[in-house]
Amino acid sequence: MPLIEWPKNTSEPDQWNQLSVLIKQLEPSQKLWLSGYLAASAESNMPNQIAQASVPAVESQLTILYGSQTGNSESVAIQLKETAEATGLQTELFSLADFTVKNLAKKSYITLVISTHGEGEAPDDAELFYEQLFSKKAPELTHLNYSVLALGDSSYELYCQTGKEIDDRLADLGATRFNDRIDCDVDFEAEANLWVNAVVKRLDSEFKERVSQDNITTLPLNNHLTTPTQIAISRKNPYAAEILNIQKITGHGSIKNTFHIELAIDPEIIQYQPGDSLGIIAQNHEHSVNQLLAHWQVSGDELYQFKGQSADLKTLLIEYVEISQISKPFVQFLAKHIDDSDLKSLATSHQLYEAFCHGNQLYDLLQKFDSSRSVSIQDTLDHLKQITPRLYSIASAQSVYEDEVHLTVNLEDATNSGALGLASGLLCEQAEVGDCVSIFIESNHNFRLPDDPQTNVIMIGPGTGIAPFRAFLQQRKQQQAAGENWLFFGNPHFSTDFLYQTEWLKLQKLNLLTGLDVAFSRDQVEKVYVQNKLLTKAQELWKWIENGAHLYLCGDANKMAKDVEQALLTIITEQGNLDTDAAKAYLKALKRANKYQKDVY
Amino acid sequence: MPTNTKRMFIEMNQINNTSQPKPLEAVEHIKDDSNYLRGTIADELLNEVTGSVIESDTQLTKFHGIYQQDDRDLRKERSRQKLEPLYSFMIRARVPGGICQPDQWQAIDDMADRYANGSIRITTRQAFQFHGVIKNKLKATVAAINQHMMDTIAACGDVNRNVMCSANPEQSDLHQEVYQTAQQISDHLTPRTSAYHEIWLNGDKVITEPKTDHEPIYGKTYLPRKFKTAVVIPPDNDVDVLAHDLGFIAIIREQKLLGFNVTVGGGMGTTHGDPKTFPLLAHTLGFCTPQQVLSVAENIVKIQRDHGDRTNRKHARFKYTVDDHGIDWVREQLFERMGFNLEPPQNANFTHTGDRFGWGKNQDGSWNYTLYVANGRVKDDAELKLKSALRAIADIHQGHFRLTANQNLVIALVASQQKSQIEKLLIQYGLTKPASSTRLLSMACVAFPTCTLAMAEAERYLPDLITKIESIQEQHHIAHRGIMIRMTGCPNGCARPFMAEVGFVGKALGRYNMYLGGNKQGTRLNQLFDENIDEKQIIKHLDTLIGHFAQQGKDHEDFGDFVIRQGYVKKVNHGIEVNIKTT
Repeated sequence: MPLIEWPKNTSEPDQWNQLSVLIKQLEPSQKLWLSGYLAASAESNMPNQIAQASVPAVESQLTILYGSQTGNSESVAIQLKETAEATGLQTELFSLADFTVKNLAKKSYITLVISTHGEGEAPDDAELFYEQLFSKKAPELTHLNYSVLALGDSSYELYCQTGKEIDDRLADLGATRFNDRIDCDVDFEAEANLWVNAVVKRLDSEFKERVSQDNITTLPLNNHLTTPTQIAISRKNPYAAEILNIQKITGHGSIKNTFHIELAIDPEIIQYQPGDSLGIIAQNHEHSVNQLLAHWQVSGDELYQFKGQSADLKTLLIEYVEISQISKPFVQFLAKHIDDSDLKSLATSHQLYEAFCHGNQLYDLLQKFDSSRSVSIQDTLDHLKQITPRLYSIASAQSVYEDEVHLTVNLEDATNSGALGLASGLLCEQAEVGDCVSIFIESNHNFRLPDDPQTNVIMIGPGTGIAPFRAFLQQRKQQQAAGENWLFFGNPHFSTDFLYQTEWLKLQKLNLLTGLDVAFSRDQVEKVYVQNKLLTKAQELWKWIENGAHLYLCGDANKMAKDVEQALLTIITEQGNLDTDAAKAYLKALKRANKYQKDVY
Repeated sequence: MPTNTKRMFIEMNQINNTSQPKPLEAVEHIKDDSNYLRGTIADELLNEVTGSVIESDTQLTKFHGIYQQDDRDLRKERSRQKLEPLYSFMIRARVPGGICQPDQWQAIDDMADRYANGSIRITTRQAFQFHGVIKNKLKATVAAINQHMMDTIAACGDVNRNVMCSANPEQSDLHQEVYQTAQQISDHLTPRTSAYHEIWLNGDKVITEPKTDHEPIYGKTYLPRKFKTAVVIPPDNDVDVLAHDLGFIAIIREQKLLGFNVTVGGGMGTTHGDPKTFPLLAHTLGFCTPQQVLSVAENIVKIQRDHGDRTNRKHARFKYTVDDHGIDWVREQLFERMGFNLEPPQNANFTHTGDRFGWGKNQDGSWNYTLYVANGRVKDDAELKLKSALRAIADIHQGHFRLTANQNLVIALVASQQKSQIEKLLIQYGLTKPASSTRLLSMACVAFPTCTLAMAEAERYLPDLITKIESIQEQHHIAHRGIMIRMTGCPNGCARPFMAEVGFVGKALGRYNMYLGGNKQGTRLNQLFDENIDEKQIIKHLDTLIGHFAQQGKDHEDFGDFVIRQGYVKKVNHGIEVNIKTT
């Protein structure tokens, strides 16, 4: 029974209409933000409650925090919020970008959904929080109860690293872990569900206990501004987009196979911003599945279990099981059951594992190490992951291509057994113009053009990292943004690999692209990369940065992003006359001010 | 100043005053504004985001021997790929008189692999061409060419181009003397701008003010159009001397070089469908002594500089200046500038255009081997490793090489003791395999995929067409009677198609205009026989003509003479008749 009555809708019909129109245009995440914003502004009109707010802890409120690079953490955090509220729990939701360690002093229950990106780094929006948490000045947190959900990718060496570190650190600072951490791989949904349900169940019982002790009832927060709209497109409810164009854009004789893909969308249903990613949900190719069935010497009609569902093996393999990527846990599992020294080194050396993954898929792994089929099919299935959607940075701006979405997709060479990448193989090779693919939009609020069109923009996007900058520049052109634009691009060869060259040349002629610097690594004896180009333009870059330009980096996380960041630090050190620490602090400050944003993978 | 000339000046001025003066060609402004051929070439070379240079600089790079081209086979594909055309550059190295030392050949051979598409093109004007040189290799290539005592300046552009010289004389000492004349003309007419050194050879940028650079012969706008000079030693007419703006015909009496007959106003280039354009054969102006050659050359160039038409590039060649004003006017102009008249021309007879293949002995006992190079293309392919073969020969050869005007190669001055060594290599690489006389006489320009002017295939197509013509000749049992066939991809006429017994000039992909009636002495233009025809029609025509020739041709009668005698075409007396169809 609620103590406080939630106010009724007292808006005038006119106001309500305007509000409905506005709300229809919002993305789910925007709606969420708006709800928080309105709640906060309503509160700020009630001075009494401000005083109350400084009093420690609404003890039975759950604070849900997330640090997200691609939006996955955010989506789980939202899921937790919805589930918790449905159970009647009171919650609040913050991005770690908007939350400091000091704020923890006022919280009793927090959950953290945090991803790890690149080589064990915290996501951009969590960087400051992470730094504060690990600083010597971090406060004691004995009053705090917490649980961590760590998202990661087991194909990286430092899997779920940030989540693990934060989980340990909170305990070190005296906080109590009310629910064990769960580490999720790229197919995070099932594990995340487990965690969400466990957290909610745990809190529900704890809070109820408390209620009976303290005679306080929680606020149900389940009736804010919802309007009846169609079910939003999401990874669970994807959209079937027709393929309009499949065009290879690396030239004759290139060592790369990069494609420009155009998909048709209904702008009423699908909306995206420059910087967003597109998720592609694909099924495994029948040929690869047949290879596996042949390896197991079965027809595929046999019934098997996979993640709690039962179906014939062929269906499971085509629709549900990840077979085009090899997970590290699976290699480790296999190594436990098969006595093979090569397999053992693969399971222990991340470098070897990475090298093997390049050009091999599940079938190749089993062929190589389990040709005698010593591990049962069911056992194998139990240790495989679910197919995850593949994300691509969107290469178009919806302000220009209202009913289209464009991608820049690299098609890796086929494996020895002839298999291609799941989504890249589908888009570039198997699908034909006119076919449909299942898509959804993955928002990326950490990769956005500056709000002020006057702001200058520096974009560093070698390889397919160029994609979001095509969207950015289309947007800037459409906006007639007064700010200058400077693009850095690199690839192996000028003559064949200058992605979207004619478009850049046109923008250069229009004076929209004021800077265009290119590095073609293999066109001369000494390799030249974008970071080298950055260094040769150090002085001018520094001038731009000092004048408030926004820096964007997109592309390969493993090597390129690190090298570029090192180059940026060098520039800041030399041009700004700073020592290494000060330069690092400078770059961090840029990040915090959203003036340095990354979309690396 | 003689009064009649003065009067003419006044008349010309009056004409200019009364009628609206025609505006100058855009290229004239580009030259004028270029600061002696600099333009913005140096900056454009540093621009990394495009493989091209800006439009105005493409006009100027020609003067430096560099033509911007693109792979036309890939144009459409690349446009869809959002890539600019696959730009590359053709670099032409001047080889005055076509003489090249073995170490120069080695260097050219290396450069083809290092900087270009792996092949060397011997041109119809005795120069080397590299194709497929990308922008960031241009400088290194030009520098390497210069390092080996060749250059590229004035290999293209509105200036005097590579000076040609007969490659086939049997008298090697006289050839040497005449060759030196060609070399001297070349040196004398080379532009003096320091831009070439500055841009390509990292020369000091001493010239900052346009005033301080100067061109004593050309002036800052150079010539209205390209200008071609050839020197020939009769009775050979391998250079087709009458097809050039300026020609010097060596007059040799009793083993002595007396001097040269001077010819002016020849040229091939025309434009499809423009009757005001036509090929012309040169007129003989008179005779000059060896000492007068440079003065004559310089002043002929200056006449063209001052009187060539700078308002219309299709009417800007010296041949039109001569044709418009008449040969007497040229003589007057020359007299005015030199202060003396040329003597009347001496007797000179040509018996032979084309090359003499195989071994030939020089008077000093050394040997020459003339090698057939299909369309001048030196490359290695599955069938023939011509490039490797010539490299192997260059590695041991102690004489020199001569590029011929028919795109072939003379391995010249082979000492008798080395002859067998060279011969062994020729046999080893399969270069001595016989080719039909028709094939040996054939010539095609580069055309697709690199030449921007090409409307139809030439180099890539003619060898196949010749194979078909050979079988027609075999069917009619006249395989031994060589027919001179030349093909170009456009009417600019680089392979001098309007002098061939059978000329094909491209109109569109797979379509050609067919000309008949040139002669094997290089003294007659041919005439249009059929227009815009495809291979089927070409074969049909040739089957009829060759069949008729087999039955009715006289002994020793050439095919070109036969088709005129039979009335298939008329004998052309003036170039304007070339594009008039008789039948």
